[in-house]
Amino acid sequence: MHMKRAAGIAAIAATALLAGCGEQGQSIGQATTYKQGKYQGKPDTRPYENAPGAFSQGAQWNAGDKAGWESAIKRRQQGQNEYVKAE
Amino acid sequence: MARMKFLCDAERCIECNGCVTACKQEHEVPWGVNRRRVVTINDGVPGERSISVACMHCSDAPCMAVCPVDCFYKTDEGVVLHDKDLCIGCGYCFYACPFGAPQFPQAGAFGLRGKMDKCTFCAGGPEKDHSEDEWKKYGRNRLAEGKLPACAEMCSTKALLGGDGDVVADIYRNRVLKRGRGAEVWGWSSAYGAPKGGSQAPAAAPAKS
Amino acid sequence: MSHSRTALRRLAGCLVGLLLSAACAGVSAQNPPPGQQTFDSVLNPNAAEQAKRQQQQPGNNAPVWREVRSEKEHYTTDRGVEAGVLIQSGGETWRQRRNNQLIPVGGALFLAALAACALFFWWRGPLRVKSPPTGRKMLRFNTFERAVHWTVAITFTILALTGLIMLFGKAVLLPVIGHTLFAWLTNLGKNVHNFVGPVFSVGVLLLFVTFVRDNLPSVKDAVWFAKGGGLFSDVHVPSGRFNGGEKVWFWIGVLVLGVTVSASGLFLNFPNFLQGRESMQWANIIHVVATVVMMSMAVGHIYIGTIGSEGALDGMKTGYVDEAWAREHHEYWYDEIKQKMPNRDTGSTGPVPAGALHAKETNT
Repeated sequence: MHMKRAAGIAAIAATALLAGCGEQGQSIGQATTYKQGKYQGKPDTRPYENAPGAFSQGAQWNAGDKAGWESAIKRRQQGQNEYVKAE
Repeated sequence: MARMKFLCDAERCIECNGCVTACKQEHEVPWGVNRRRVVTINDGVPGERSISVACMHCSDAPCMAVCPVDCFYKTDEGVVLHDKDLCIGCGYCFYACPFGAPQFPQAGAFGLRGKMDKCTFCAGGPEKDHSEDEWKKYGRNRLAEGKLPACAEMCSTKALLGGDGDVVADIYRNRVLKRGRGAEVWGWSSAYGAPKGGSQAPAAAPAKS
Repeated sequence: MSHSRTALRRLAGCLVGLLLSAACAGVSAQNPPPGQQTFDSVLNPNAAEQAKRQQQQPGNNAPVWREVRSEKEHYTTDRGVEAGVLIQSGGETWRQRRNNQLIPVGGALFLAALAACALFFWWRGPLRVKSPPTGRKMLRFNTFERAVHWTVAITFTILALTGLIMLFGKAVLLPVIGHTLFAWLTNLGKNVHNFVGPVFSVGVLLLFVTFVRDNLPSVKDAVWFAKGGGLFSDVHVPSGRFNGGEKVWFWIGVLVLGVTVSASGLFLNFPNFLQGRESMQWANIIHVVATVVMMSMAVGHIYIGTIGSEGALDGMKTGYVDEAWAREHHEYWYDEIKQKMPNRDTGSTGPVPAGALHAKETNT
């Protein structure tokens, strides 16, 4: 009786511990400092991995086209540069 | 690769709070949560300056370092995001953040603060881009639409700049040069005051009355 | 600085006004009339300095940026706590203290306490009662005392476990069980911690009131300490109802640390009184330091109260201890009870009948 219960608890504990195996790579000292252009995080879709979507207001790139997304952003950013607009 | 940054030009900010409104409207954040705010120094007297502030997406983010459940992450573009499914609402990020960026929807008796909310640089969260889930938890993902943060893009005086740090720096440098005030932020006279000898006045000192 | 400069300028103006440099004259010409300037600089010296600076060096907002770093509250329409503060530097200090000092040092201290107990157990084993059990029981803790102790003991254990998860879990547990499960566990732990905490605080106060009389220090304690409490040798060390070690635990562990932990914990638990970040950071540091020390001491207390000392747990479980145990561990107390009620329990083989309890409890 006692043995059975102990075995049951051990089995549950082992299963719980195994849950960690399904997780993404992670380390205790996870770097908190940003390294230029290096993704340091959890699973997330990058902004260029999908097509622009319905509200893109003319921005165009194909899904996964990183360079296309970057140039779209760069072009867009010149909207904040009033000296470019004025000329 | 772009490294996303905000810059607020204190010479231009007129405390219209348009960025605050734009942010609230764009993301439909709940009452009491302000991802961005405008702070005015020397309010109402000569020497007044206003600065718009939100999450600064630190390179070495203190929130990330102290989060007990490690819910933060950083994207390719250096944007600091967090996973609300992991967040336990302990408030440690709020203790650690120098800018007061982390916000909580509840008052917090018995430490019940709700899930932390903060500026996402309009980059959503870990959910699928453009998805309903992402919108509900983090607001609009403008980066994935090829846009930049709403606050910076609609700033009427272009005091608030947001986007690739290099481009922001270029725009600002160009602006400083065109202003014709040489000693704007950088240089000897900014740090140590005008030279005493009187031979080297700031490049374009204003006309003296 | 600016005061002495003003004074100097005034002095120079009186004495050699005509000889002053053109630059200085230009500055004073741009300034508001003397009376208003004084008014402004008294009301808001920084604004006055900035107003002056933007005339002298347009675009140089150094006075404003100094104000940004000053951690003062400025004007904002945002009505959050400390929303008017642009930069609060204490958070980084708190982060460094927590991550680089409290976690490694605290962890080491706690592990050292566990290791010390394990080592002691390996060396001495459980402290056994040498004489055979008499079968006669003495009332050591009445029901109220036990209820108070167990309230504190159970809440303390819950708080310690959940607190350990929050402090060390990221380093110890997270890499093992993963983000999803760990966040769920910590969320549960945090809420349990925050609701159990106030119960513990009340328990600590009750515990103090209940046991303070028998924990008052006496000369006999010095002898107990001099002999190491009999922990490290086989000499018999008599003591009162509570021995020197228990008294240290009572005064430092329960009173000083318990009250510190409770106060700082309640402060953090109810951020409804517009506490600022600086006070929260300090409260957290005090809370963590006090709890880690308390947990380390509690390891020793729990050890000696359970596996470390034969028969000790009975007192807290049933309220009764064997007379042999009482004589060996708390001889003065044993003598005192025997003196007060010489006929007590004689011949009885079990606990005192419930009806007889009332009179006896007053003596415990």
